[in-house]
Amino acid sequence: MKRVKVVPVGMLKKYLSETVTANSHQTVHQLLDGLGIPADLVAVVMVNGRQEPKSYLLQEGDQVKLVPLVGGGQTLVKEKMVA
Amino acid sequence: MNGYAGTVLRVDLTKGEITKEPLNPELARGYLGGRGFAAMILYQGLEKGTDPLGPENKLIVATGPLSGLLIPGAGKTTFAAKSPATGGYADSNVGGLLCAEMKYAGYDAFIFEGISPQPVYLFVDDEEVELREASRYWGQGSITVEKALKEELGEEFQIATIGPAAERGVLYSCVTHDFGRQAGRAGVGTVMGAKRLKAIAVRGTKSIPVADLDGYRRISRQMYDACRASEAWESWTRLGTSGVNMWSNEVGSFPTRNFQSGAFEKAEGLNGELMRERIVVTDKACFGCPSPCGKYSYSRKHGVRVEGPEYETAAMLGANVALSDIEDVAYANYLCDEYGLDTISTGNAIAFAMECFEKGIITTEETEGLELRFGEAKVIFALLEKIAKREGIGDILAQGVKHAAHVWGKGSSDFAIQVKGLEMSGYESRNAPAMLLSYMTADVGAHHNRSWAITYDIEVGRDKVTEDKAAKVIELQHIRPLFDCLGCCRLQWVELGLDLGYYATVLKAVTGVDRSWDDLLKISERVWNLTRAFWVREVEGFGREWDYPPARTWKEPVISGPTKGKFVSREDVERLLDMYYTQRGWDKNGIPTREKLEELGLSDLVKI
Repeated sequence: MKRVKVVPVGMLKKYLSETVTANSHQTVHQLLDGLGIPADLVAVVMVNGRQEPKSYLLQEGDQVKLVPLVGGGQTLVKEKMVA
Repeated sequence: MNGYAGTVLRVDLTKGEITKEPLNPELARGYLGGRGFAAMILYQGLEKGTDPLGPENKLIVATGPLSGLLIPGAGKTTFAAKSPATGGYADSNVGGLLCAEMKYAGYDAFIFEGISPQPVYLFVDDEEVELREASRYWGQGSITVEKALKEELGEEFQIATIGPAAERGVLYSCVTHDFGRQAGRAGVGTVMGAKRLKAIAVRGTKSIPVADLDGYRRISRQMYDACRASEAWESWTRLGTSGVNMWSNEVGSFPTRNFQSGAFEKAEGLNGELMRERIVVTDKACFGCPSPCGKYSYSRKHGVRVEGPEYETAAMLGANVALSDIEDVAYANYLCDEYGLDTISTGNAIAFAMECFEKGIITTEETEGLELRFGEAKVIFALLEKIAKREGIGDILAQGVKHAAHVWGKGSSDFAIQVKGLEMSGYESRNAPAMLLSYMTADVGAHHNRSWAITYDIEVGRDKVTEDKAAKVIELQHIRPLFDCLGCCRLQWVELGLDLGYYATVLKAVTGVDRSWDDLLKISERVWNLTRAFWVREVEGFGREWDYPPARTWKEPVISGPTKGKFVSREDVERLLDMYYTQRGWDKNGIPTREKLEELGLSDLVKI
């Protein structure tokens, strides 16, 4: 099986808690559907350090990073942060 | 006072006098800095009914307690005044290095009053401060003058300038700094132009006092480490805000052809990766930032260098006027920077004129022969120059789309995309009620930086009009402007996910004052209510109707793209406002109640 590495960033960890491997020869859109990640929450898809569209067909060995925008989401403050 | 330089410079441009005043500790305690200082100084210092372009208006340039320290993004300077574009409160902030240099020179803020009899610039070199003759720079472009002043004074001087548009009174003129960064919105540059203040030049060599040096160093290091460890760092550094151009188009929020749609069929030409490969020369960071989101570009096609285009410019001078060649957008960006025009309002003004032309509301009679067709680059450049020079149709558009709709009539106000007289920035929101409410209630007019809630809409359901959306907008309206009080950029939080908890911690180490995050949010809420009170005092009959979005919101569904057919009904607009006002502790007309003002410690100051 051809594999790619998928790294979720920030709030997308709500949907995919850690880095996983997945099949290549599918589009990023199909990958997101399979992982249950809402595509509209993924602002930037980085593949091997370049931005690619969600129609990009994954190749064996690709490193895929899924980057969200925080905006209206992550507003919790850590309780016990001290200087 | 730890965290502060300790002195405010008051500049009377009419008399040519400059006085140094100690920073009021009560002001620092109650309002932190930046936008907080500006709101208080303007509320307290302006007489009701002040002419925004007259000598009584004040132009405030303010830093915050984190500005100039080694904290990620601590390079934000606030410019504020009573807005000539809206008649209400305005502040707009700019990145770069100005605030750091101001504090090293010993000043937390500059307050400009009066009108100079001839063009001048403010020269500040530590203790040495003077107004200098600037007639030779009058009429010249913002970037040209910045370069000339650096050559004249020395590279280490930090410069802020206005361009010819501000000199001529275009109502959405900006202040430019660091070769392409702008305090862009609501005409803060226009006020500077009316005062005949061409530029500010600052050099400083002093240090900023810090209460707990070890603690500050430790937490500062943690903040930088967290930024660099962020998995999002790579993409934001590579692409800057242009990285979200395609996403915005995919989710139908990329304003297209004067916000008729949220999806541009030729958006691929504005793709951030394509821009990187085709025109970006280098990355550019503001003071103290570990994530250089600025992209410095060169367009071979037009032979110009420009910082950008960043997201807003790609949206407003790209999709919104249907330009699909990133080099054409870069050129329009360059023209705006040199003339000193806000790219957001300029893109709106051009797009509004084009839609009016398309609908036959105006003809070549009004446009001096220009065929105002969407996507025609040469026409867009020509119209932009007419606006900057206030020639013909440009003179009408120079006063904003609300004014232009008033002049041209025939129902055009329905699609004059503005709130409170300020043109909307780059998010089509007819299928994003929280984002729409953000625009409706932002305290400078339709701007996104107070609350950016579209991902919240997407996450919880775009069609929903619910209490939690109003709550989210209010929460964001306290968090995001708090950064503008601290003198710090918010993108390390928004983009890199830097934990908000660091800010209260590092602020305590810097100032020695123990305040929780919630304490800081309360200050931000105080400032929010004060700016609201400013509107109530300055604008006759101010209230609920000033928070309405353009009627297109409920009259015309989105015409294409993933949100095709969507709109927010008039009833839902009213529901959003009802929920928002109630949660804010304001009355049905959107006026802060006595109880709320008392809770925030504003009841003595604010009499409404």
